[in-house]
Amino acid sequence: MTRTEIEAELEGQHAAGFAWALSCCGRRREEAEDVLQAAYLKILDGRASFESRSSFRTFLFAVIRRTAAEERRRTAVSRLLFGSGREEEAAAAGESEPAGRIAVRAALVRLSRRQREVLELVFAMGMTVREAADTLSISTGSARVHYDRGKKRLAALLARKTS
Amino acid sequence: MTPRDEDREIARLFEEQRQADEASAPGFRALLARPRAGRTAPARRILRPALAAASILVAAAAILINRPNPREPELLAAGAALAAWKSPTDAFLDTPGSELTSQVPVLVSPAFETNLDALHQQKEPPR
Repeated sequence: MTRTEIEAELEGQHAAGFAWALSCCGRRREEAEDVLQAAYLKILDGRASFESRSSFRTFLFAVIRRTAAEERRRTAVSRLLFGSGREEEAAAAGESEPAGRIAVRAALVRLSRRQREVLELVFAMGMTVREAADTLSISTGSARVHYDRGKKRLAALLARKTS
Repeated sequence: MTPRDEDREIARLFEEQRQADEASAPGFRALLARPRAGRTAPARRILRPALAAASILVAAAAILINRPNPREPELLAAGAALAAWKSPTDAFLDTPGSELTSQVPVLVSPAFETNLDALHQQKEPPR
């Protein structure tokens, strides 16, 4: 793939990529933008190369997730060594946001990271469980288990909220 | 609510969230063109001088440990003198009979054992 083709692909997936970056960064917008930019630069510089083993979207989402994990580790080390780092709080919910969306976000926080990631990829990004497994570099079986358990727990949490 | 309804409801809420997130995405070109985040700058500002100071300390320690001792010939001579030293009262240890304690005693001499074997052979009755 040429650089122009890669750029076109990235631009095509940009909005979805940003939504995924937000999810990977605990909904911290500034951090999500940095992570997305770093992921794009990795791909454009050739530090992360697309081998056509999966769809470009799966590849891009995997790079974003890895970059977000690196950023998380860097922040943790920075906080440990120098007592500084990014603020942990996620962006506060807007006043105009529907209650249902806020409830889902609050429930998602209570799931394990893997369960949350699989559910976001399947429900929000429209991926199959197999594509989600490729993105997260886990087996399809594991992804299916995370999906089932996560979905049950999320449904229970949402039902408890509404009752 | 059936499990299918639950799935549909969850999917709807996720879909709403995704649409809201996508709508708030910054422009692709603007994101690429903006200056790179200086998130590691504070760490680097402290890490670099700390690494430089640590390197200087390690180099100084290596030089101090490996530097030749100016008193080395004197120390070698003193060591040789100590090794050659003999106590002036060593002669008192040479007492009569001291060779008995400095050697392993031989209780039965080999000559006596040979004679004993010959004696046994003579005493055996003829068959």
